[in-house]
Amino acid sequence: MILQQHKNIAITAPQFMDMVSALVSYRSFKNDYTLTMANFISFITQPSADRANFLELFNASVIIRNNSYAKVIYS
Amino acid sequence: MAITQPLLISELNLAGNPIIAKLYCGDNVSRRWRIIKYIEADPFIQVIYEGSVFTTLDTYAEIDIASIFEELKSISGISVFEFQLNNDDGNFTNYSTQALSIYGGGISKLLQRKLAKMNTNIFTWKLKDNTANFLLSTRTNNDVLAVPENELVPFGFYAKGLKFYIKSDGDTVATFDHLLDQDESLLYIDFAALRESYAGSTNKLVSVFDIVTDTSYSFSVVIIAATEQTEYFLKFRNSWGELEQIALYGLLSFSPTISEATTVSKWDPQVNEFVDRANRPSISNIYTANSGCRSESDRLFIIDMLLSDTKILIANGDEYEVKVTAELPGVVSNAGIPVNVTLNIELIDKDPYYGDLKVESAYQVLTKTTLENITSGDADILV
Repeated sequence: MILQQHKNIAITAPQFMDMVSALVSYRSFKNDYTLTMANFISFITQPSADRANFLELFNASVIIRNNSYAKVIYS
Repeated sequence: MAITQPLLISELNLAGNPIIAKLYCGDNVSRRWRIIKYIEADPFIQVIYEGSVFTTLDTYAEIDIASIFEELKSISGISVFEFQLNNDDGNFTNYSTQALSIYGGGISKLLQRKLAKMNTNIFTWKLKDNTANFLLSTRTNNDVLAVPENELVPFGFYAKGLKFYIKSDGDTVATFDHLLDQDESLLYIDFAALRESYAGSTNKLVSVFDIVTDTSYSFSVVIIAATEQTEYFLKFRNSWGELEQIALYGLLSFSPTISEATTVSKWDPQVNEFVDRANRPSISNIYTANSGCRSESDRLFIIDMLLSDTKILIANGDEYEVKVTAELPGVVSNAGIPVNVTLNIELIDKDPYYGDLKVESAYQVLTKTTLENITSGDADILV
């Protein structure tokens, strides 16, 4: 599970540095090629079991920043 | 001590904390003072309060005028007044004056003492310092404001005199310049909207926003992941008078309490005697919910929620005014381990009557969908 809280380190909500390729993955994840960027933004900004599954399938790297919280960047 | 200034009062004040006016009239002299508000319509000024003060040689009289602004303390915002101390026995033609800006909300005595020790005040230390976390959130005064994505509400700040930039991933997302503002204003930053509009224009979805000035870093707002979906939230007014939100997790467990039925004596003509008749007892609607795992600073935020005078339960989109209590040892534990705080939520309304809310059953939803599918797919079936 990528998204979790560990002690006092809060893990940031998903950050995508390339939304276009993330949208392509989302379309194939949902098997619906008509989905738009707006659909993807509303999906990815709300917690759900589906989102957790999508994020697990997506490549992730975790960087600890300022030693106070972790930053999750999907690229 | 030679007194040169007859009126000493700070210009910026919080309505919820003492506002001390130091007044001097002379040796064994009494003078009138008043607080006025300028208004646009006739007669141009409105007298809010008028009083009198008596001083002896070399002493100021100190008065706390905070109670005059009692109604301003629970809600954020600014009200501007003028304090006038009459210099003679006339009708306020010769007076000493000081502008008064009253801001909603208040701070704890603990913080007041700390600020006094540092010889500063809340305006210099936080609200008017663009290198500090100046947002009106009680989540933290530190430089990392972490907010779960489903608790993100627009954050307010008092803009006059502040200039800063919001940056993310090296780009400037927004610029605020209020250095030359004449009037104070309460403005809001909606980070959820900023995140979406930035994603639309740059194809980057970011969750970390750095607030910086021309020369230094101020603080960061970090949107953190909420792991579960929930339909239950507690909305409350924080110590600054701003609305904030806490997500509640797990099923809201309902444990109603019904008061003991009281009786009233009524005359019974059949037996020619007073007899007891029962009154309707009242139901208290009490729910138990979990706050979800909370870090130490978030648990202090929960304490601010418990202290609030406005608490609203949002359940499936509907809002109910509530009272909330929590098991405090769990809230204040400082072992550094996130704790799931159990909150007891009681609806304000105690009721001797029962009225069920109309809720669509799963069966009804299924039937409706099936019927709608039939009508839309084969429109003449129900005609």
